[in-house]
Amino acid sequence: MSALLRKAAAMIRRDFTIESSYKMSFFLDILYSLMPVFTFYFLGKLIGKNYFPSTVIGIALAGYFQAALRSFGASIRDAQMAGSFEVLLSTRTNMRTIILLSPLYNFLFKLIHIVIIISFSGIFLHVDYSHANILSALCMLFVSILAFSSVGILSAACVVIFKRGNPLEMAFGLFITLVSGAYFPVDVLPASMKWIAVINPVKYAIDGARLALLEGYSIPMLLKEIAILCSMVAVLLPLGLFLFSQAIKKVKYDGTLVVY
Amino acid sequence: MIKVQNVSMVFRIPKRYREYLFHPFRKPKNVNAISGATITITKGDAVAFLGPNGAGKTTLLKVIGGLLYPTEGSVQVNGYDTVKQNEKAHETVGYVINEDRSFYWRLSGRHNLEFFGTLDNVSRSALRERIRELVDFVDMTEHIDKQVWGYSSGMRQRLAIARALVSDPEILILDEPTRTLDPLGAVKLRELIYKELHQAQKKTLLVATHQVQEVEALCNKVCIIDKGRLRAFLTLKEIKKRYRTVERFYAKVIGEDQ
Repeated sequence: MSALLRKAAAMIRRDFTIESSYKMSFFLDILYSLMPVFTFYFLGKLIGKNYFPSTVIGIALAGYFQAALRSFGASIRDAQMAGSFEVLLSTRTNMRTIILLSPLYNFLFKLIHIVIIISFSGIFLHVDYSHANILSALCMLFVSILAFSSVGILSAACVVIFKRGNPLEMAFGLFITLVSGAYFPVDVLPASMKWIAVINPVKYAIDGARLALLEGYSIPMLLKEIAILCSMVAVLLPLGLFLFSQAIKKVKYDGTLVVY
Repeated sequence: MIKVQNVSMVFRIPKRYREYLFHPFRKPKNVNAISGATITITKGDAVAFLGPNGAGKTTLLKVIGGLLYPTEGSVQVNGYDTVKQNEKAHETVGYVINEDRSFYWRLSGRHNLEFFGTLDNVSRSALRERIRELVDFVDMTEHIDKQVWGYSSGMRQRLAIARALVSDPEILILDEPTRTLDPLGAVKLRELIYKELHQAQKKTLLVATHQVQEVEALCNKVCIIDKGRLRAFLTLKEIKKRYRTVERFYAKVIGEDQ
């Protein structure tokens, strides 16, 4: 366990040192996370009073879920392009561990984005978080990140095989932006699309976080959302890790390990 | 001990759009990178793999290092199959990857060694001491805390050797270790590899190279590969006895083939 924690810390330290060495990008990235908040704030003034508080949580979480989805594949692709992929594979840490640990820094950095967005909207844009149940919100976030990481690992398997052109990332990207209720209520969708929202796990993750942060729902009150996301983890995490191992095996046979 | 038994490595050439359109059911073409290679390398050997460009030297070393899986045949490293027991098999192997970009350029040399050492399961206290030894060993003390992007090719090559040695592997695979070095730098590195790693530490060395002087300086056995086939595998003593020089041996074997 301590070896695993040391490896996790080494990954975080590596990525933090690299990212923070690009100083302009590091600060612009944080600033950029606030841009959509302003857009939806003014849009909210046009639409109605309840729109913005609900959407600001959607914006914060959608960004986080997209990061969870992309980080795994991106870490593989970056390593392939930089030339460090073979070296990582030649270490005594198995690739499943490497893929699980590689996006940790990104997750932490995006978590700071969420905190900034929520704090900014609360302090300057008067979103009322006075009823927020932080424990429930953290619980929802934790379960959600596990759920979307499972899809992220599947997506990394696609990157290993296809190199570019990732159908899973595209499909789940649509799930996150279009049919999750992140930016607009799913009620406005045509009936033919509503069923996608019903089976879309992103919707439950965002709904759960909203209920925790705006309505103060406790963990037992969010059991439905948590159960749906946990079921997703139970199925997709082992499947993702298995398929990722198979993908690595395939490219080792094909000789396309370092091809990108 | 490394046992390579009847190993073949076939790379598939991806079909072009035109072929998908006009010959959708035709199988893709293949390239035989290695064909039926069988070789046994005993502990403490220093084997040079010589051959023309594209002969299959790097591919064979990657198969031995477990970075590629053979299409046919098997490779055993210290009794572990590189496909079925991949993690166990490469526990004793250090691979000096000849790729400038295999380091994180925005990290210092020390930070790179710490990162890869952690992934190699070296404990925190042992790692600090090991890095200190290795930095001294590859003569990088002055530069180890600088970012890697500022290193010369030679420094990166020495850092690559230090990285492969962090976990103190029994077998060291070196792919053209002096390719990017100036003549004096190459001589120094060869001395370091031969005297310290092979003679003093008794490590098994597998060296892919094009340079005959490297073969003579580093190795006690020579394997010639051409067009994916192992053409000859002799000790340096036998080569000197039969052919006098490695050049003549190489010319004879490759010439016969052509």
